[in-house]
Amino acid sequence: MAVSVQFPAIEKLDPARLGLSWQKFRGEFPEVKSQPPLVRQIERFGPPAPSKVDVEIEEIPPAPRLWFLSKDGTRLIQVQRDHFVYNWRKLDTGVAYPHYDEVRAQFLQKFETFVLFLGEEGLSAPQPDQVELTYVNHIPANDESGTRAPLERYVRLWAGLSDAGELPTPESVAFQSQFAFRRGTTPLGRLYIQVQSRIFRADTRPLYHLQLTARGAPLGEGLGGVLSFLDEAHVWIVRAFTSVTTEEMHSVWQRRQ
Amino acid sequence: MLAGWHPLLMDEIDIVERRVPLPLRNGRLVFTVVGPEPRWLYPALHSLQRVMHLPEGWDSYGGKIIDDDVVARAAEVLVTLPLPAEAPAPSVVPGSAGSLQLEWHEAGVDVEIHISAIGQVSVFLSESESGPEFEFETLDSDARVRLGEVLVGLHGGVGVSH
Repeated sequence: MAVSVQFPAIEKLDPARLGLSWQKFRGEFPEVKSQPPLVRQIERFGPPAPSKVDVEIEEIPPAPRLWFLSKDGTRLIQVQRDHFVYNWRKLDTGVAYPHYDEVRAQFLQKFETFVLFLGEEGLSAPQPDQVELTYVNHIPANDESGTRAPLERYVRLWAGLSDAGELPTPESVAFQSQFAFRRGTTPLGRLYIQVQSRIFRADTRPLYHLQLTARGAPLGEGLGGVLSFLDEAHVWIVRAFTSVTTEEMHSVWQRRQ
Repeated sequence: MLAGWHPLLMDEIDIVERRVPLPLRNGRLVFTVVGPEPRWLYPALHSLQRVMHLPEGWDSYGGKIIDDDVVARAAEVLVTLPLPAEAPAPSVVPGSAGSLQLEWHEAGVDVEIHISAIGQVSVFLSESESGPEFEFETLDSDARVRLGEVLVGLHGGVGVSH
């Protein structure tokens, strides 16, 4: 699960200050890594606009994205000049999958710490322009014979090839669908559903990667607006998961809870 | 039927902002695109990238390399022109002094936008072989008005990339 906030790049949040922010989290997140920066994305709605192209010069090297990892690797904070992300990852640690409320509270606490740090450094507070909530599910997909079970067994969005004549079960499947979600007629954000065939790294068993991401602008000012969007996004992701997955998938999910 | 979705509204086209980077020697240019990419965009970026890699002496007469600043200025000029989305990409022509020229020669239209080695922009344009010619020492509002009148006629055809 990941909660992400995007904002216009903070002018003086250079690599040195990004590194300095680690001090605020180091006790709980003792490991740090560098990654390429995340790309900015804005969801827009309305009738198709004419093409519009702008250009800006960026310094080199582009400011990095830093990962602050918890000791067991399940929790992750990502910071860059225009993004703050809080992740929970299911690794082979036996740690139970947390509920949304718990991750929301943890995100809030970490983001407030980050904002306080910015203030202490004399930097401007982030002005979020996009919020994103992502759920990732790895669906074990080996059937009774140990080969990959067909996707339609788990995901209703995929009709399968029951009428495909002599074609066997596909070796791999990948697709993305997207939906605009609304309150009444007002668009709030976009929901992306991605499905991809993959294998577990540990034992190469087949799985289906099911990712649901809801992205849109905050629903109001400040942190309240961010949390309002997150709560709305959570509702739509739960609806989507329930709607696009099969009863068999629901049983598997409930057993895991 | 998925509960809560409205099938008719799914036909809207999403307009997601996309960022297209173009590396410079120091730093990079980032083009932000909203809506469908104009036809001229990627060929123009390809041409800019090619001239950026020209070495010193590229024309056998001591031709100077094209500075990042000149490329950036050319990019800035290009995206602010009133250029139809369906227009062909300009020819991107390097000059020995480290200058760049964006050129269109088609359908009776001749446009040459010159970016000097120190980033000054001048414009030459004419609308037909026998038509009036205009020359502007800077890319001022008069130049932009004339360019708007001329460039609107550029559509279809095949642009020439240097």
